[in-house]
Amino acid sequence: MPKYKGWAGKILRVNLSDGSVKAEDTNDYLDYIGGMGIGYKVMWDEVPVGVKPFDEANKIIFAAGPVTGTGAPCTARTNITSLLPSNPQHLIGDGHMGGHFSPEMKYAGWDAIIIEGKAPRPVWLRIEDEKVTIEDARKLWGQGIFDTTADIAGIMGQETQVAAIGQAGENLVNLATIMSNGNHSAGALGGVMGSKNLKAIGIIGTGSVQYAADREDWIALNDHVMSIIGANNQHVVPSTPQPWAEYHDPASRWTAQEGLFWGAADKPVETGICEPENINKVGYRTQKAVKDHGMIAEDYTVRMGGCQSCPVRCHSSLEIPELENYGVSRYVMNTCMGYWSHYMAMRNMDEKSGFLAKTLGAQLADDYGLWCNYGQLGRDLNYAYDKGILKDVLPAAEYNSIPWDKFEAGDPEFLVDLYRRIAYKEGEISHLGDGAAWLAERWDFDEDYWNDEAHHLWSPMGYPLHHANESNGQVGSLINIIFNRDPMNHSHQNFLGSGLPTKLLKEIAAEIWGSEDAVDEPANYTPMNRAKAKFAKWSLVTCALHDSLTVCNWMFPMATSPLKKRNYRGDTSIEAKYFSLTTGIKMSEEELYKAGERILTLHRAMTVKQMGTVDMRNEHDIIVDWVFDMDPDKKPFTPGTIKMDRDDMEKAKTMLYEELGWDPETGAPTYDKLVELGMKDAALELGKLGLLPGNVQ
Amino acid sequence: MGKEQKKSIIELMAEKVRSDSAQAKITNVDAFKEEPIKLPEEDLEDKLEVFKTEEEYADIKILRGTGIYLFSEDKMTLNYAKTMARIADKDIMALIASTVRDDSEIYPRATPAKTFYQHPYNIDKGIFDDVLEEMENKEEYKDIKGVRASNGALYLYSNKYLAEDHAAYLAEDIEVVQKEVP
Ligand code: SF4
Repeated sequence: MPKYKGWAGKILRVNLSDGSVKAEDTNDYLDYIGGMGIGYKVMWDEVPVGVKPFDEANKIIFAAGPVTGTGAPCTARTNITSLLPSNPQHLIGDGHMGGHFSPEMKYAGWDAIIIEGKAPRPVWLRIEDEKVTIEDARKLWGQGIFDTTADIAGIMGQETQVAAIGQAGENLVNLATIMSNGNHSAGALGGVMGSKNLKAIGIIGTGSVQYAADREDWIALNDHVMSIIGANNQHVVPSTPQPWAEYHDPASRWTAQEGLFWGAADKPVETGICEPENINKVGYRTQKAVKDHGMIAEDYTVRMGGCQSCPVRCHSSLEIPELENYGVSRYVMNTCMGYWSHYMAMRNMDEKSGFLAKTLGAQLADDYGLWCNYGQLGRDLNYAYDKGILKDVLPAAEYNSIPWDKFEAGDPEFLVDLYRRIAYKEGEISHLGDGAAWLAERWDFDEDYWNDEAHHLWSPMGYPLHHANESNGQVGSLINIIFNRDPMNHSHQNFLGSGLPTKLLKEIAAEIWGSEDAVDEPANYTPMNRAKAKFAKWSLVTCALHDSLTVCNWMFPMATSPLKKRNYRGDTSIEAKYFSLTTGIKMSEEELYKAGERILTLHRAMTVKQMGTVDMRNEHDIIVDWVFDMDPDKKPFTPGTIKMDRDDMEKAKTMLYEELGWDPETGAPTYDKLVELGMKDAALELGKLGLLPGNVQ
Repeated sequence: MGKEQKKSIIELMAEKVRSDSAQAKITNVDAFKEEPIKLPEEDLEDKLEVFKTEEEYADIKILRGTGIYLFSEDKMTLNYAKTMARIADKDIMALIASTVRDDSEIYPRATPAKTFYQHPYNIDKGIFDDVLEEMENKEEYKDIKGVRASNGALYLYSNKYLAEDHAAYLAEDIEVVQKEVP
């Protein structure tokens, strides 16, 4: 029996080596909430240092949090934790996906699924509530994700939720995804499933997730959220001037406006004016197709789609008959980088070919289960091509067999050839799928690969920037150094991109982080200060919380709102309120943040343990040189540059470490902090390994 | 049922303003000269005074540009009404300059030129290009400058509020960077 409401109460452990299936008690993990927290705890306790991602001893954990499945808005994320194949030190990391998978997992009675071992032959996992069986997947092996998903749904029933890998995962491509609903992908960990011979997990759950609160209180909170919710990324102003709006921002994802349609719907649907008070039109606010592709996409837009229980709908569903010319379905659905990364793998395109490249690329990559490393794969291809490296490293026969004429001509069909080679590990060029750090070493890239801002690389660990120095200077930069892949953190970005004038954001910043100085004008930065460190900490902690609760970090925290009558203030206590109403455990915002700190600090402790050093500042939290050397004619902290200053950034690290209670010199968690967060065991283990700052035993 | 009481002129005027605002339009006072209001020109300022002073018309606000415009702030924000008034004034140079200055000062951001081709501005691109060229030679618009992102898109800014380098980055950010890092 679950001790509290919200959690299903059980964790499913499946050992693919011996075929055993066990139910364990979620209560052992409640301090870590769920999702990412459960994932880190399992990895910390059970995966020894030195294990590699594709080793049988590695584990992969699919986990949700207590709020998922309750129907609260934007709460259907699935967090997946394991060792990262693309990270050169195979450090711990996550991928996460939206869709409907984790609510279904909860309805089946499971908070998490721990997969361990390795099946002797391809299998898939069939879960129907309590009934869990390991099924033969030899017929599915070799298939893409779309057919696999359809076949499993054909066997189990159309309500089945499936998480599957494609050929990229099967072939142990480092940059491989796990995909649910055919368009919600968790990057980075598809190869881990492949290494375990696990093709897919199919789930049907017939239960429910219960919350502890009175119905009225629950509905009141939902209504409150719906009253302050914005468009995707919690953008709270429209992209064009509109009668109801005091402000607008051309960059806003609130693209709905008069005369803008879902043009390929059976009967075209006008997005129109969506006043904030009209909650029945929340789903029209984000016409994401035109945001991702420009106006060309309007006539191809069937509708918006997205995750279970999300009123916002950030995935665009398109019908593009021309896609059939490339041998793929005319129906495609995705969002953001799921489209854009394919554009970045191409060149010399016009509006139409760019649109086709994005959508064809999405069809191919989503079926192969190929991950773009947040757009880096395409940039790597272009770099190696432009530098003539490909001519040096590819055998001539292979080089000549690649349709470079199509690449040069901006013909999207190039992607059909390229992605097949990578997904099937055909030839040397397939090493583009290894990930940037491995690739740079293999193909002996020069320093300019790392140090040219055009390549967007952020860390020597081979991940690119993801809302880094372009997002409030030191704040985004700090957020980009802590994890072992791109940080997938939108807490800061949603706030900064809300569309409100900087003056208003500064007022709100003063209320949350103690000073207006937490926020600078875009590209007009000031030196580091304490409020920025608090802003960075808040972003890191809330993101860890979101991936543990599990709620959508593209919508939460809602620090701003579209409502003038609230002076555009949002409400950062919503997550704590949902946690309390769901579980019955009364938790304040501060207390919940403490749990987020615990999860973040456990990630840090695991990274320290894996790297075998406490010197996170100099060994891990490294930023490549272009960030400090770009714009040679400009000094940091002058208008028009996002260039950072080396000394200032070291000061920024110190302040963040202090805010997190980590050792200000090394950036490693201290004994006292670990004990304060209830992780004395971890403190003792690190002490034994000599991995506490100051080498406290 | 008694006969509906005849509405006063001020009530009819308020009704017209509120109805226009609900349809995202501002009301030019010239409209009051028409049926059924037929307001004599010499009475206009008195009526505007009523809107300014009487509680029941507190939502109705007055904007003066080339023309005089009214709107109901229950249905339309001041910023939007200002934009509509500038459009109604049909002074494209002033419209461009004031929009660009607002963006540069308030947010701050550079203004995409394409904004002016779209609703609610709807300026023909050819006309826009000609007007922009003309503005370069006018002293009162000397602060309005253009800058191009690396993909060629034109952005405008006011150098009273934004330095050129700053405007250039902001244009590049929205046009290129935000797409590469969505
Ligand atoms: S905003 Fe997008 S990712 Fe977030 S819950 Fe909604 S559909 Fe899913």
